[in-house]
Amino acid sequence: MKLTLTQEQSMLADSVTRFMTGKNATGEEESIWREVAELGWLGAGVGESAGGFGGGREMAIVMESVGGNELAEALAPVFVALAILEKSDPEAALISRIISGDVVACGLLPEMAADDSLQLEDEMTSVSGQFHALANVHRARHLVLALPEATLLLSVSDANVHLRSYRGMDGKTKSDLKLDHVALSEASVLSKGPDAVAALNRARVTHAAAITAECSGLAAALFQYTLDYVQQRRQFGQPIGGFQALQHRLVDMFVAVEEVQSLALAAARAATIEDAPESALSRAIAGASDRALHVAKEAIQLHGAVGMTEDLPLGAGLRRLKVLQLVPGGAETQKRRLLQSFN
Amino acid sequence: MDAGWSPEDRAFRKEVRDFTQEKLPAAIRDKVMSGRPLERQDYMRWQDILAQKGWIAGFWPKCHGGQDWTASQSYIFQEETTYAGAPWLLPFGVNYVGPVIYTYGTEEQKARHLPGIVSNEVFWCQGYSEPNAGSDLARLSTRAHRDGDSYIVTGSKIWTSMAHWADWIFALVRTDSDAKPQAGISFLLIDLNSPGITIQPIQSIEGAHHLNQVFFDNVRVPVDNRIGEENAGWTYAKFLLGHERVLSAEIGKAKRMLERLRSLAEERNLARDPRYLENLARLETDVLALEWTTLRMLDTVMGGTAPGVEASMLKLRGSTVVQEIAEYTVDVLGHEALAFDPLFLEETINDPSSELSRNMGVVSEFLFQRAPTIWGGSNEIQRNIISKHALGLG
Repeated sequence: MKLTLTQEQSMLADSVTRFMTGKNATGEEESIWREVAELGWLGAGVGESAGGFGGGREMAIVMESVGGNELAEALAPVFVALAILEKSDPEAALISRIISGDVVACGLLPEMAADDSLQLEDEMTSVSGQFHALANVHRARHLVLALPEATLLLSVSDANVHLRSYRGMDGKTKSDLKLDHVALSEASVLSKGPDAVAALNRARVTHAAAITAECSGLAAALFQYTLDYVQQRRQFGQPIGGFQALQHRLVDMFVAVEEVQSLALAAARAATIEDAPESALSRAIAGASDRALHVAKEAIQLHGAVGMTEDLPLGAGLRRLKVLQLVPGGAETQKRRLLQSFN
Repeated sequence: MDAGWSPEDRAFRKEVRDFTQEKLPAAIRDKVMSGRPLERQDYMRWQDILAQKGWIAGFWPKCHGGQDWTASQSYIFQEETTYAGAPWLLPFGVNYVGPVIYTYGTEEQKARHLPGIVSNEVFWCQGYSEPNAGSDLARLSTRAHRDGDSYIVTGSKIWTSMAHWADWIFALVRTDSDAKPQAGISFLLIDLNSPGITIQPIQSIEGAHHLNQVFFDNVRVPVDNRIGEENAGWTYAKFLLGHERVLSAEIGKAKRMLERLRSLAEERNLARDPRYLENLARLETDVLALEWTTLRMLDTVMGGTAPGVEASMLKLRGSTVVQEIAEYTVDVLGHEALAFDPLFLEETINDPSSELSRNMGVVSEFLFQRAPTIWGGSNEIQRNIISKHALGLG
């Protein structure tokens, strides 16, 4: 078994964590994004033949290490786009332009679309569909759609692509996207048939690995905050961490964090070897989200009133995890997919 | 999802799977699968089969009759056999006292006791808990005082699983009442045929008899039967508890129980029922998380690090997950679970082909599965351990 990180992977985790320390301030999103591109982290999403240095595990390491930072939300759809593009054509020029930060592309999965809205029309000459609360699309020049029938590359500037952006619960920009009979040229259909299915599978494992890794990084950070706090906060003449009622709740948080890490590892392995049943990916996302949310809510409770303030990053963590639960393609979607997959 | 097993591990998994499929008696498998209680001869028959293959104590060193299995192999063996419906490999000799004897015992003790475990000829039980020393084990009060080259043991042990089937008991006894609780304990091997021992059955909530109280009334035990130093028994006891907990994430069992849950639900046309599907998805997610936590721990152990709090974590989650699957399986039976009479499950009356008795097996297992969160160091004790050793919270 090789579940532990290689030396290179540990170094990657360290360098991402080091860079992210102190980068929590809002307002410098654009400059961070450029720095990240310059550091080459987007290359973690694809293998060497596509100009990157990674695969599923490296991508997950970046996501886990930025977990808790706004950057995670921006990175995930780009990693999904890269995964789809690499699967379709590892030598596509667009890949290197995305890695270098030159252009932003966001990957989309069918399960992110509003119910039954997504349709390929007129013998695959146009596509329509609606998506809600997409991350990073407001920055994107391209959309990469992995559908079971075809893999599509769309330009956001197309007159029939409509975007409406707004502030999201987690403070990040969200966009509703409407594809209104967007014409498909030959160049915009990257693959069809079995190749398209393969690209979709790759997109799904990447999405699962990214979302679970973010949950993992975030849950671990929220737990550590809380553990530090109970050792320093004194009431009734002693650190509150000395009370068994709190200790047992902290242990359950600790176990939850470990289990999120386990589920994230399972998904990252799946993204590396691209061989996992869809239901297992859905379970990994749903399980990671449930556990991370538990940790976030307990973190606020165990901090008491100060946990309710914006002085601490706990509220931000809860909001982000709630987004990951409710965002189309997130934990709620996966739970519904699990119910359907047995039918 | 693939954990990256080595080719050797894959080959071993196949060997265990094929062997179990070929050798596990159908009647025993059926009992296990349907949750009906096993008799002594059921356990012994399967363990004899394993003993012949040399697989009773596979993780032991070769010099003591084991196979030098790696941690991966032990895990694979446990997962595969349990999943296939093999009885629980009784741990009292193989997992508990055996390693204590080969780690701390004298050459004479090794020669006398280890072969009987490896050949499955000697049945052991564990004398730890007492009526007034459960979670606070170190407060145990069964006394042993020296009389020449013997100890005279008086007191009682309780919750002693399978004592009524056992030949020997390993027991913690107090040899110094003045020292601190942990410092006055010794570890004795006691022949259950010794005069002065009586065993009283305790009926569990599922109606079966596997627990006992064992009374010692001036029982003479040779000093040669003491493991290690006098008053150092706590060290050996803790060593044993470490071994006990490593085993506790029962992935194979959880998967097997999920399969039964699915087939019972399908038989009852619940396969599309939203409440059922939601519960099934939750339980399957719990098992996935438990499995990968176990694999991570296994990876650490294979890397040469001894398991610490990880073992407590697996005990905590493993016991809870299996318990919840057992309960939800009863829930799926609905009103069919309400007809229950433990007498029906007795070997002489039980008709394995009747649906009624199979349903009772499910109920019996649900009730029995309240135990794992209590035994082996209750889950509250495990939380104390994790709190102290992983979180540093004392």
